[in-house]
Amino acid sequence: MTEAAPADWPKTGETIAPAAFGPFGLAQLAGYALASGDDNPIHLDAAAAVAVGLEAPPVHGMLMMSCFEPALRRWRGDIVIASLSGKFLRPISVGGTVTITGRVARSSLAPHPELLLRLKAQGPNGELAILAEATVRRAAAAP
Amino acid sequence: MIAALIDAAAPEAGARLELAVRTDPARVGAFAAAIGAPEPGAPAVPLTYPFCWLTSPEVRPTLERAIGDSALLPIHEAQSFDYARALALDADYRVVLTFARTSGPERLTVAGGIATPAGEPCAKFETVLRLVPRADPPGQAND
Repeated sequence: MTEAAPADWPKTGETIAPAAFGPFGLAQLAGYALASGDDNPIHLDAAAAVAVGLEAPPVHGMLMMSCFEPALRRWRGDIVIASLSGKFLRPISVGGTVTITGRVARSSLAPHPELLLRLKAQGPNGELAILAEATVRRAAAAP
Repeated sequence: MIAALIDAAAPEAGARLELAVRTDPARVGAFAAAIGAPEPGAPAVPLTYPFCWLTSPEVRPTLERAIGDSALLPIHEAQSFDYARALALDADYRVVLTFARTSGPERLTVAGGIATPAGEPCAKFETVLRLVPRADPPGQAND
């Protein structure tokens, strides 16, 4: 049985309004390290970051990836994320911001309203940090 | 709270680890705060929260054995989450982790499955770590 989609259900090609997060300072990275358990010193110690060839401590990749969920929720409040996958391409240094953008790659209605989204997380200078893909469904159709 | 039910008997990659975990409200709340103020209507457990179980002290020794060489630095290359149902707050789950090493280039892939104690699947996740030689291997740093 096909579930009816709302009249404003996104169409293929529709863009997702940019959502900005941060800046992520050292205090935020320390807080994330503590809460997530990802205490790799390269995120908190400039010398450790330089030792692996980075200019400065990078924002945790998973902290950046965590921005996709609220970004999509700001875009539409009637969806749930069924899947999210991403490739980490470039680091964003401490103090940087992350901007989430995206577009609807496929919009389908049957058996329930579902969207395939292509997403990007970009740093303060537009550098591509994460290339991602998500499948979202209308909240009412969530399992 | 995490309890390892089956310790990784085999230290090599290919190990399997089963954990009893709980979406402890205080820990989940701390994680949610660390990734930013929750959006209105956000799920009780953030989508990326299961990554915390991978960094837990119960898992870390197996992860380090699977990497196998302290001169290799794990770089987070890709991450995915696939949900059959959202995780509930203050609930028990069982997590099964499997560790697989591949070469050319060196990678460690950790696949996780999350299920209720009754065995109902909730979510899957996969972490891909690229293993690169450290600029300053442990013990050879500037000391």
